Amino acid sequence: MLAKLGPKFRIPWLVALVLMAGFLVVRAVDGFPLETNILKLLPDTRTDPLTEQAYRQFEMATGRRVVFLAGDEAAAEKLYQGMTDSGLFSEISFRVDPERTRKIFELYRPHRHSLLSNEQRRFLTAGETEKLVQQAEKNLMSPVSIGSTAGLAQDPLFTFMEFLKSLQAEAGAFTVEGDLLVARHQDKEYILVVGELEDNAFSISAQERFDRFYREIRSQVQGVELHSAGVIHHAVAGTNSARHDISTIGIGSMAGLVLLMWVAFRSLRPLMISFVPVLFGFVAALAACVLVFGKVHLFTLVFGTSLVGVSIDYSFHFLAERLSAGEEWVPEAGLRHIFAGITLGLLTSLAAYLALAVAPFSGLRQIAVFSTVGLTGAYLTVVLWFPVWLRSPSLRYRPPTLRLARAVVKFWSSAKPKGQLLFFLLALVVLAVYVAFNLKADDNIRALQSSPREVVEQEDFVKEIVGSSSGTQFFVVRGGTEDEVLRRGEELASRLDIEVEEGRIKRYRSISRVLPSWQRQQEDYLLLRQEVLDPSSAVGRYLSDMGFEEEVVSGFRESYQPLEVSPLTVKELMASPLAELYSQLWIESEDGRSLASIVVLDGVTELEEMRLLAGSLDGVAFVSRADDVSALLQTYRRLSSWLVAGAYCTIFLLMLLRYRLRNALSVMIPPVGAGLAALALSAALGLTLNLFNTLALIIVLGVGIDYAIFFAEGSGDREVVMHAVLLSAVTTILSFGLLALSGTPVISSFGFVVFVGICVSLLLAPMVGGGPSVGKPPSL
Amino acid sequence: MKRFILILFWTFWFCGPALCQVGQEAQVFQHAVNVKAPGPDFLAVRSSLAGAAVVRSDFKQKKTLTVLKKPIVSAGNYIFSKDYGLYWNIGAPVDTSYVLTDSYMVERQKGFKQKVVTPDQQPAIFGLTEVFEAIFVGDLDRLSQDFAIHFVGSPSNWTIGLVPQRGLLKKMFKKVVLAGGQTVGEVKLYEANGDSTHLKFDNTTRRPPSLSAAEKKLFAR
Repeated sequence: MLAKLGPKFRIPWLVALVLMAGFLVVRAVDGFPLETNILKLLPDTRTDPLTEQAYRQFEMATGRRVVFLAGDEAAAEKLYQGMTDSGLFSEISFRVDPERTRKIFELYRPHRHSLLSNEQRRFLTAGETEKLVQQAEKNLMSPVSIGSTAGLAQDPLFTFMEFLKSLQAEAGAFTVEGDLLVARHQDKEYILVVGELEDNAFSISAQERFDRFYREIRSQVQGVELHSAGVIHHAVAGTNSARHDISTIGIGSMAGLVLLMWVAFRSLRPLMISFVPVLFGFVAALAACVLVFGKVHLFTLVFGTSLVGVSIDYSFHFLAERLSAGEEWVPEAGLRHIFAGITLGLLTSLAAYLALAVAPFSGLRQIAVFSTVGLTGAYLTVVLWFPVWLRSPSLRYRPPTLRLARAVVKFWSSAKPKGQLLFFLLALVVLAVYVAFNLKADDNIRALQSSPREVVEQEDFVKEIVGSSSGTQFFVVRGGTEDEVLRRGEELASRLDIEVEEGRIKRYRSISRVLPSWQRQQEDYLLLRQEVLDPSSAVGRYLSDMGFEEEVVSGFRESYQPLEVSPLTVKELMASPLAELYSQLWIESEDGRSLASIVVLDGVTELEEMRLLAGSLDGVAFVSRADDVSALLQTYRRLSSWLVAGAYCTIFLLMLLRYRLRNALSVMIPPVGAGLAALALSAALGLTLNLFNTLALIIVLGVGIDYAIFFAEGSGDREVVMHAVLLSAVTTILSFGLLALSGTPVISSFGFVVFVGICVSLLLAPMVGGGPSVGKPPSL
Repeated sequence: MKRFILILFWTFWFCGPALCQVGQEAQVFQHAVNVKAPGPDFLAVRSSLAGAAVVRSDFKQKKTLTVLKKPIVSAGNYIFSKDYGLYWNIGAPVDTSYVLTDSYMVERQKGFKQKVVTPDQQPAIFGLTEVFEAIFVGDLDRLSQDFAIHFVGSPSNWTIGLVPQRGLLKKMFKKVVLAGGQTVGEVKLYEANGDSTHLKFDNTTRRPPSLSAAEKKLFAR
């Protein structure tokens, strides 16, 4: 059957491959749709669209923001030039409008009758009007407020000045000097330059260009302090480390593979040929992913490279068969020998990977699609084309690897006491107990996304001076109208003031600090109005006792005649220089019907407190991205653990269909032992369990069961099987077990489990089978 | 807004017995001092003023504001220490004191919460304190960086006129007049908008030359 069907599908398979490759090339014309943001692996947590939009908009704004602090003006100027020339930035804030201060003053001045500082509002609402008056008297007499007499005719009560003073406290460490924003920190001066990246920080090309730009600038301003923080620095560091991994690990594994082929086959042709199925599988898998998901995630590719380890098995079985047949090589007969083994291997691997797709988790689904398509592609290529490509017999050569394989097989067949199975099963139980008690899980995304110390230190330094520039913990305050959002924001702010006082947060940024709600403006106006218009009130007495000129008093009273004020609005605020600081904190939905503001927190010590706070207020949600992601990772780590366990069980059931219980158990020992050993060793080394090394267990299962099945099914020489398994195991370790050495924690924790798993699978697999009758009669 | 903060501080001028001569004030701005080659009287005043480690004095302040029909009068005392900074206390009619040091500024008004401002929060204010203290101790070298200096009189009875040369100082003030003998006895600030402040100092003393424990406490945050 195989001999008849095979040739018919050869050409269609090649045509399909060419079509898929063509599709990929077309898609790659505008840049390959690669996703590197690790968070994109995870599904979105929030269902509320506005909160989600608010979050996205805020993340986009902060994700694109790069903050620089330059030690002197010349360096800042060079930096600005470099930023402009680089074309990387869509917006650069450097020299501020020299009229900025006046413009901010002018923003508020028309609304001065309805603006009060928090302190003065408290006085008025508590009926302590005389305190307002005492403050005004102090301002008139104190040496520190002489200049305010300039505005005294308009502001005889000093309420507007007090309001402006309370704003000043909000402005933070920066002051406008000339047309520069300057901060002082530990007796040094820093000039602030802020850029908005044109591209997303996770765009690879933007990262490369930014990296070049920043190196260039740093060499230009040598000797002057230059600090910078922003998501892009983390992204660059991440990509550089991934690139470093690929180049060093890639070169190492390439060299290792070439050496291995030379030792095993005295020829590099097998290497080339055995990688053709891997390549074809890869093309098919990539095309399938782009077709289904639109984008391919970097982690899928990393996981995908691990497929090399599984799919190359098929090639090696064919090659090992050919080597052992020597002069009597008939390709079709060789294929028949290994067909049952590799087909069963494929089916079990597919079962394992498909188990992943059960999860409602785009990352896992992508991996599942990639893996099943890739494996099937490699399998088809071996089955359809290898008999054509490898017609001639191999060289007459007894490679040292075969001698090694023979020694291993001999060891296992001589060391085969009764009760071996029981012994292994017991050993597995012991390992499982050890793992259960010693392996801890850690799903904290911060641990997984560790950036180099230099990047982190820079960020801390900039944060210390500028304040939180890329808050990941914040409140989203929603409402149906501008006033409602502002009112809820005020309510939240009053609670946050207490949290700041009690040290549970360091500070917060909110639009309500610079823009009172309309309701509050109206209330404050009426509070003042009542005092100002009543000549017998404390304010009235102040105005007459201090001897203000008649026209000043009457003008002031006149301005309080109307019963209502037109409020200061978000629109006005956003048309002022304050927009630079606050526009990212104000969010309007696309249809303009729902509104939200963002309140960014800095230095949160008690997360739960913030959640409770949000829960106790209307329309307020607390978002802590890193913690949400960590929680999500935890959920999916748990889910994947169940899926992995499910996959092991499914495969055991499959094995029961084909083998008797005893043999089915023994076939399961290598993959189960490999998985448990990898976990136990991780625990012993103090490593922790996370989503990514949990997923690696699927690979271990796929590879381990393959090896075991090859031995169980191996109808011919066990040495040949051992040889093939040895070669594919070494290849697998060289090609991606080395990922354990990666500097990226996600990848190294993945690589480590795979590395240990493959080694143990290799050691345990030869104990399978070897008896006279292993299987039920072949049904394939 | 910045103007407001800068303005917040424009008043630390004092020292010495009140010996000012009205006549000298009228003339002083016709006698510019060439800082590179000053006369012997100016030199004597400069070195005399620069010497004080601690100064204590009472003051009377009269502010004349264009929007008010009558001047506002207040009185109090101050303590200056080269090491600590300035303590300025208005006793009447509003009980308020200010402490100004290199690292913080405190405002204490009776019946109100104390307010502390640090350079991190409002660096502009603290940038100015250096100028203030220079005026206060009579560091005429330092003042010549920001002001054109004028001088008439003798070491025991002199008048110094200051005309701001640049930036905000120039926007805020037309001129500043100091007068005195052994110490500064009188300061007059003439603002650009027509307001003026007149400070008179009494019971000025440089002894004892160090602060008592109680005085040091006044400077604490």
